[in-house]
Amino acid sequence: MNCHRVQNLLSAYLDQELSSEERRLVRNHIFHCPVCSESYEELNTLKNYLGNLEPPTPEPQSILNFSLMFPESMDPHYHTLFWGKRLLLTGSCIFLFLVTSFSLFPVTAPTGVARQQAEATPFVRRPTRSQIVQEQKHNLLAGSTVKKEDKEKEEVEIKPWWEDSLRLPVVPVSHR
Amino acid sequence: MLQTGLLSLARSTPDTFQEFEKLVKTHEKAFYHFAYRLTGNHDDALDLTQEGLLKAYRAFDRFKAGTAFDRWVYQIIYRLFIDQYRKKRRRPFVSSLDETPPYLDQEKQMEVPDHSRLPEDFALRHELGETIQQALLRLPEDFRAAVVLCDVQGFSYEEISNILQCSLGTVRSRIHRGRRLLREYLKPYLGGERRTNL
Ligand SMILES: [Zn+2]
Repeated sequence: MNCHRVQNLLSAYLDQELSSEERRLVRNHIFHCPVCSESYEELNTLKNYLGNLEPPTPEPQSILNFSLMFPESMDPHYHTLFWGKRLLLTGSCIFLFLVTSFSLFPVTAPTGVARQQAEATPFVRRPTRSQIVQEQKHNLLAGSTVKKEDKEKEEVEIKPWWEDSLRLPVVPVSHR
Repeated sequence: MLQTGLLSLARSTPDTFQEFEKLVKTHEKAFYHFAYRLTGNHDDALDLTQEGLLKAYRAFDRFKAGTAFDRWVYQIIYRLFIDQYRKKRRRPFVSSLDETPPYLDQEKQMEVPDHSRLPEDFALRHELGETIQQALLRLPEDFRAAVVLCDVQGFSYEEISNILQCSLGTVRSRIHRGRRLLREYLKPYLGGERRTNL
């Protein structure tokens, strides 16, 4: 092996990246050639310098500072809590809205959709339009006296919306 | 960039985040060291490391489990460095081997401190470290990365070819040429009688 070839292989020799045969040849050459030997020593010192370079000081406190970049993401329950809270908040808002609107404006007279629904329910038989006209005529004829039956009807209608639902049969909940 | 980071964070599960954080914690100092040797200053090194890690986190679903995490991140950092930091290089580098840097002659005449007489080991190390860093910065980026990965990070040629995405022959050549340049730059510090044992 000549000097030129050895010089080109010195770095790889230093890094132990040569085949065993190349390594042996380079080793033999360095042993006999002062020029290549000096090159080898210099490169070896250089490699040692680089290998012993100290980590840069001062070191940053935290390199991957996700806690600073995204503080909420550091909470392990962040993702579940985040969406859970949102759902809960939305749900309770809707519930509150429904409760207040129904208690502030109780359904006093079955009008529109409410009336149709009332008519559809088999429990309370509503008088038909012609029956009402008939009754009104009858009332007019009989003076301002209101029938006892009508009074009851009125009372039923004034009752708040939840009264009926409270009367609904309760489905027994089975506990295991 | 921060927004896309947030988006991907919202999409990912906390498990992914914790897994990533755990992997990073074991290597982050080495990543930073690598970035520092490439850029030569703290600000750029921190930027480069953090950007690289954020990029790695966003692509974490593409990281193949079982492969070397650190090499994967080194690769990302290196590419970022080549893409971004090359552009804002402050001074042109001397890429030709034959061309002598204009300030080399001055450096040769520079006073070389007699290390044996210096009592403060830290100061000595620090000074020598600075000199070596300055020499590293004079290398072409490709050579610098290869030499740092080999000598500072301690990777094998095969691992380096993996990180730099080039052939083994290219790795060997870059390290060889990089070292030869460094030997020129640091000649006064490599002489036999002046050699220090670090
Ligand atoms: Zn020789």
